[in-house]
Amino acid sequence: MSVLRRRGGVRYAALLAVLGPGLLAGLSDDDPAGITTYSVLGADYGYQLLWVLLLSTVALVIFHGLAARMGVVTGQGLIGLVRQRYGVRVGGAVLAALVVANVGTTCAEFAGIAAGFEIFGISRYVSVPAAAAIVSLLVLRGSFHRVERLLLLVSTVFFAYIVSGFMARPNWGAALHGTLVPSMPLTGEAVAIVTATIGTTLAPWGLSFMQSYAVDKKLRTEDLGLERVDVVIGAVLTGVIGFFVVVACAATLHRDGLRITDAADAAVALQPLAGAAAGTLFAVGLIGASFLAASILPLSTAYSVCEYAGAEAALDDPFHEARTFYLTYGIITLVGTGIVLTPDIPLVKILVGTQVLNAVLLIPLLVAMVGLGRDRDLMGSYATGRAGTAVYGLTTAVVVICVITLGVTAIT
Amino acid sequence: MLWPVLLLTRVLGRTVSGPDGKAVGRLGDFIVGLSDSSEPQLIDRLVVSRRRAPALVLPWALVSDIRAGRVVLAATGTELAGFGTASLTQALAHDEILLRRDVLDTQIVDVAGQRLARVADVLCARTRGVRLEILGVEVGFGGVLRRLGLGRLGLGRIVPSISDDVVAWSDLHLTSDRGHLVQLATPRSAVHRLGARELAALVSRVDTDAATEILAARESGTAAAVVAASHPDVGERMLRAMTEPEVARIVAAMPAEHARRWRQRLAQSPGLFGRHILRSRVWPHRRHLIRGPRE
Repeated sequence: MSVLRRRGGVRYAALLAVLGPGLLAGLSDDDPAGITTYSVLGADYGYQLLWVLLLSTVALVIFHGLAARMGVVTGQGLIGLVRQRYGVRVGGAVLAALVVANVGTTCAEFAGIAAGFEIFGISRYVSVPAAAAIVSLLVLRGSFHRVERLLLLVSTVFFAYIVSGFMARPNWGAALHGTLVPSMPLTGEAVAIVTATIGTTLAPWGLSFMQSYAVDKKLRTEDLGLERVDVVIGAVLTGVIGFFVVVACAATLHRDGLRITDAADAAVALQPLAGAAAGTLFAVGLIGASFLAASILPLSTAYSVCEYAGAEAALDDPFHEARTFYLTYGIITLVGTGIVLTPDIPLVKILVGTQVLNAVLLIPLLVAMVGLGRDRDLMGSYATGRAGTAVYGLTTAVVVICVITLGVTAIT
Repeated sequence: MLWPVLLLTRVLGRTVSGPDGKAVGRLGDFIVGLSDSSEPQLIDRLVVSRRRAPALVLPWALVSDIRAGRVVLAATGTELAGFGTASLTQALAHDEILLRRDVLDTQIVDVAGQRLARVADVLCARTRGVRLEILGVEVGFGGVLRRLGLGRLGLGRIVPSISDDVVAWSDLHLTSDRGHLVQLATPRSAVHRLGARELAALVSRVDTDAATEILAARESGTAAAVVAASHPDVGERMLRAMTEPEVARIVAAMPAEHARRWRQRLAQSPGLFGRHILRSRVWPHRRHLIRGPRE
């Protein structure tokens, strides 16, 4: 009995040691753009489209798992591998698109912080610079472990959405039916929201962060089994949080026929319908989600830039050894903050453009990942086999169809 | 006499033709034997890529000229039929690497500068007739900009950190899996010239497997000195990954007090399943087939 208990304890400790990349990369996908998409999905379509979350969770498990495996086996981040395998031109083009998209997404995260705090009457001119300073200090001053623990601590704020979902008193039977039985109205708007849900869950920056972070965490091939558990936990939690956001909005806003345009709208609208506490929790969740993603976006960009340029980059490195890494982090944070605080800037256009760029960039990135994962020169015995390639190919095809459909519905 | 520097990325993809001027294929890669005892590191063979046909792996003796825009062979296409190969890895001898696959755009450790960098280009020079000698690798961002066609922007003059930066061939350790293993097996490689302090800096930058391979390749006294010069966490990470006889060999070579402390440390189970032991710089970890010496 004591041996079994000890074995269980060792396994638990080993999982704790590995836990992090999958959890952070997954949960940071539930950023303001994600929460907004889930809120609109619930408010406009009730429980009917919950099955989409199941689909996007599976896609997240599949591709975050591949990213972690590639990082652990090759010891390199995604952009570094793309440069090594496909050359400087392809690598440079992917990096340029990723940096532009990441700057735009960073704006979305700081806009989320601004909107979340404005619900509590705090001006964005206070909240956004303060948040930028906190995330910068966190990364500049903290060791890898301190940064990881703080980010995991911030992630616990997502439980606010789960509590908020319960407080909305949803129809659980309808929610279960919507999750397991796919159906959708055949309208352009429904197709767009389905595509946006998949697109917001599987983001280019999330994939590159996942791989780079697994490298920086110094995971070994012996840790891959537990890292898969980390990826599954992260993806499932991401889906569960999305589920509760949809459920909260479906049980209140959809029931009363209220329409919203963003997550902050949802938090305000929830207050009279599900109680002040539910609305407040929703707003707190939005701030926490924005803060987590605002920390990770510049980090993901800094990793990618350094991998391409060949500069050393690790959270444990001091500034003088990793200038490119820290300067990139600082510049992305500064530009994101500056754009959000600039009066009369067309923020909505920037955010929409960013979503489009993310969706378009996702396609070559997924294709490159499938190709890299199959490469026996790079992956050795960990290369993807035929069955795995078929699964990755099928998932990529679904994402490509979604992106093309979104493009067509946007034009027509 | 050395000719002007030739950049690998500028010769790759060039047309390879026979003495009759008829194209045979395109230059796909160069093969280098790292255990060659001659002082300059010369390129030994070249890989010619062909459309809808296996690549050709040709000895350098078949090259009659290498000049701007073209590589000229001393043999015609029909005479080269026996040099075709289905697998480049299988065609390599135990001490050979491919410059494009195993060096270009991969990470290296500059053992003199003690830093990790990515190869932007490989610098060669013509010597001994048409032989090509490898001088070193370019690691700055300037090389990347040049390959992107942005070299004329002169950003290197504005931002010095992106200017060209060359690491001598004798001062680098390759991180590509095959490069690492071949260099480790080659007595004249940089890794075998390093003292304990330099080796300690190197193993702190590599993953556990590569670090233990480096340590295991050294005699007991040097390995013990490397552990002593390393951060205790790095030393523990390496020793825990080694077999008991190897650990006993290295610990026995330490001074008595030092050995006693290490035996005590290794006897304790690592806290939280070695979470901090996972903290070590990772090395690109690939496993290419390394065959024995050619018959």
